[in-house]
Amino acid sequence: MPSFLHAGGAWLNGTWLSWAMSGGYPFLWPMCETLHVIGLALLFGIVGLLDLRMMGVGKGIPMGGLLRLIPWGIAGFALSAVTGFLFFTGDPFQYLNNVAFWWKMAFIGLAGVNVVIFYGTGLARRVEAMGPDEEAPLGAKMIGATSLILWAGVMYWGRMMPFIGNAF
Amino acid sequence: MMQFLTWLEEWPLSVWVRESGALLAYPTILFLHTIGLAVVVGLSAAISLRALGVAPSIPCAPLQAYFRILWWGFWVNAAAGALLLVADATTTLTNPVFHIKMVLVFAAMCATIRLRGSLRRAAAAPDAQVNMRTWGCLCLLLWVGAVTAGRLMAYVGVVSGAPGLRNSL
Repeated sequence: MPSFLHAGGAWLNGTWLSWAMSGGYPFLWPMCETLHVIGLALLFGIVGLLDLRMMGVGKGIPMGGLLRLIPWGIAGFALSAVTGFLFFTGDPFQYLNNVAFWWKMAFIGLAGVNVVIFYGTGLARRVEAMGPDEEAPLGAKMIGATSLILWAGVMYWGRMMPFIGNAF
Repeated sequence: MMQFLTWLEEWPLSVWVRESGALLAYPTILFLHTIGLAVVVGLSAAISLRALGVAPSIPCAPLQAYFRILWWGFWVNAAAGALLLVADATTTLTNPVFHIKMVLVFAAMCATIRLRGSLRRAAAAPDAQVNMRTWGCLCLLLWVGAVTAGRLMAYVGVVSGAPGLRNSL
């Protein structure tokens, strides 16, 4: 493990927040898990609605209308990210030493790259201008499918942490 | 009753799910249960937000297509949940939190069905007074309750799960 990760993990581990998360307040961990799941469901539901529409499900819905839901998807991601960081704080080394954790982070990063490509290539602008019954360009369909696979992958690696790695 | 639950747990299928240690057994079934949850709760929540007026420019009629996918998620979860249930029948079926979860999931699915119906009516007669806000609101609340109960099953009562797995602190 690189020394900065080791030092950072050791510092986090010594904080009050780490103590509170890892048993100081026993209700915190289950409560954060519940919020983590609610956040992922909100994110996946809204991302799914958008991706599936680009892939051709729910024709008749203008993409412009669906975009209003995006702030709620971001809120779901934020909820999961904050609670995820709290788990990490609670016991940094069980994650730093966990291969499934790193795969999960990599998949979140790839999902981010996918979003950057969507906006950077101008596909987002073309999709926003689509009429309600219009078919999305092939590039947008591929972005949508990639997004669904990557977010499912994030959930896979998250769920595998206790089994492939050894976290609780 | 306990004899029956023990008998369920001793099925070869139950033993395989619980004790084989195969990645395809307990871990993959749990993953499918999570994906199914994200599909069912996520789509239900996103559509509820539309019903509550978050994105009013989304027309109601085409949303029906997403409910079909939602039902796929539901059946994946029912199947995965049934496998997890027989694997840990004595602990899960005697856990009151599991029964609360089942009631909440049932109620949330009923609310989702009513939400679908209200969206259909709103699409057929845009001027009609339809109570999709009520059903959207109920869906969100009931799903939060169901997810909470589901997660708490790992903490309240006898903790089930693959042997050696630390489910709680």
